[in-house]
Amino acid sequence: MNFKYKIKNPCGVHARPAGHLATFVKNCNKKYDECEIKIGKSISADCGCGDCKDASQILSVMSLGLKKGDEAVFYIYGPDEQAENDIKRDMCDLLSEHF
Amino acid sequence: MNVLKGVAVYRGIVFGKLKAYRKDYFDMYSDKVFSGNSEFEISKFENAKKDAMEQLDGLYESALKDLGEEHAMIFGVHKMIIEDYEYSESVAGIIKKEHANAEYAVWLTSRRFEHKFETMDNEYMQQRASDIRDISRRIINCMSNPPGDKINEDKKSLIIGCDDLSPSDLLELNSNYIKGFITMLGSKNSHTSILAKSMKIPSIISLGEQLKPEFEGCDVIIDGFAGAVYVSPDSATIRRLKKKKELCDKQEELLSSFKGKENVSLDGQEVQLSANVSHIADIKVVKDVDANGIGLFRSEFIFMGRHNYPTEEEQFRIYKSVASKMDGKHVTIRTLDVGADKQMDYFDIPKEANPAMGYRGIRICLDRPNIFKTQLRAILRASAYGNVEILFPMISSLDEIIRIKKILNECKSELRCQKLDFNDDIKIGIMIETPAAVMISDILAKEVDFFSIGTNDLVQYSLAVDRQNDKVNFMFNPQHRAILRMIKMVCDNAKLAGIRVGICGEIAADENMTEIFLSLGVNELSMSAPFILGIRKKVRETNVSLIRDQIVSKL
Repeated sequence: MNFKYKIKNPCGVHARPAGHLATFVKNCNKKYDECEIKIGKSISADCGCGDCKDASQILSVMSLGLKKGDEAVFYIYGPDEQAENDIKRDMCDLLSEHF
Repeated sequence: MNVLKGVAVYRGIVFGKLKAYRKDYFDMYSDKVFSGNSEFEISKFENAKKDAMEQLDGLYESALKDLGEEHAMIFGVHKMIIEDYEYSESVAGIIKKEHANAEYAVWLTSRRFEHKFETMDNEYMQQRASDIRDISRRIINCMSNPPGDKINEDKKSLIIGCDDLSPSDLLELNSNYIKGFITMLGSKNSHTSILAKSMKIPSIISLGEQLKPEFEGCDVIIDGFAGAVYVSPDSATIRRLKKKKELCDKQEELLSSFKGKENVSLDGQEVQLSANVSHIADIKVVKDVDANGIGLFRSEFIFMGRHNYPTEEEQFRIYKSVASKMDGKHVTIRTLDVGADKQMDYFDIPKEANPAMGYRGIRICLDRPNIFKTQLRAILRASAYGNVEILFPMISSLDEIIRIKKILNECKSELRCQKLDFNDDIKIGIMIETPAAVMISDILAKEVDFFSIGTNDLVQYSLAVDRQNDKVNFMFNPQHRAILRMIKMVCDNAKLAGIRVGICGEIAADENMTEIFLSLGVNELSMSAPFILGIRKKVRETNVSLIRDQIVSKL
């Protein structure tokens, strides 16, 4: 599953938001056997993106240099659709607070 | 002996040896050393990472305990960066491919990441380069012994000297038991100074070029009362300051015996002694002196040092944390009080010829209801977690209160619709700091739950004296009879209406004024926390019934 999110944080995705995301993703990795969450910077309308990074890695996320107004693309690979939806829902809460 | 004059951050006298705290040795690892044993270098790096993580755990715990989550978070972020595998892979890659030593590999990795951040077109991200360097420095320190920064010898008597200290430097140094610090740069309002105060570390800042490298290793004395540093003091100075320190310690000891005692005069009159808080880190001191509550929480600091308005969530979290930390004692949050003289760029307020009488305080809030409502909603939501009150600054008319209440009620009904908890009976109060508010205090008293007299502005407006103006500031006299009469008028009107009245200006901490305030029936004195025990002592030694008539008749 993938989806886009437009960055609203005026400071961009800096250490704290990236830290919150990394913690969240690490917890997902623990919770589900097969789970991978990636983040990239959107470059086309159909969720295409350039470099894709492991969202559990704070430096990788920060070095995407996402600014306010940029669109981030998230890729969630979970064990099943239900799990992916759960992850997406929790992640959106986190995004709306920190991103 | 050399005597250096600077700005004192925390009062107190300490003796120690001056130790330079430098960071610029980092680049000495820029020379690659050939190593034929990559595995050894990688395990050296992995072990250093583990040690660094342990250090950060310790720092996180002690910062969390002493200063709260907000300050501790930086160490959590640093840990995550160390755990980042892109960082580790880069180090391991350099070690293997270039047959390099681990120190060089960390240095180069650090430089590459720093460069990545430095070249981003976002000022905030550019500053994150320093986090990467901090961490890399820590890892290198764990691998080898860099010159300069070893702060383990004779821990108990070190005084740190450097150009400037960052808040995380200070947190870390404190965990190594430094006694004090002196810096060339720095300002009294910086985050570092605020921390130093709450950690009670005697410190003198902005010494400039007076602080010379050759002082390293010298005996020094910091006199935080006089803002002076004595380098290689002569025996007469040592004797004099030892005596001064003894007196201070004795005084401190005497005052600490007043902890936990009630603020009641000899004849049974009670007064609340609360704290003024300008930063979240102040809360620790507030608890230390067991204040009755927070009489003035200056919310401005939440808006400072950033490039955008704080969101409702951010504000809510801060207010909530303060409210719950105070265990049911009142927390009076003053809404944003900024203006043309103290403002943030993003507020975009034009320069004014006369900022004290211009666009400031409640006037901005009523003119920009979005900012105001965000703050009110955050405060209301926090009121579900403790005894929170709202205080509005710079009131000069009844109409303002009516407009404020309308907006507050809008916020309440929004929250109700969203099913968010808040205290519907939250107490609201106003600052009495304009002569107009004094003169109509009988009318205003019917509209609010409490008054808080802000003497600094009241004196400035009433006596027409600008405190910033060197030519007239000698006329700035809070004990002017005009001011005392105004305070009496406000107290009388508050009493008639049956509401609480407090004083939150600097004179609340003036022992010479305590008798007058008690005689006028002031219910609360709110001051900078370190003064509370002294005033408590004064209150307990006062017999109000004996002096009241005499004081009141003189006004």
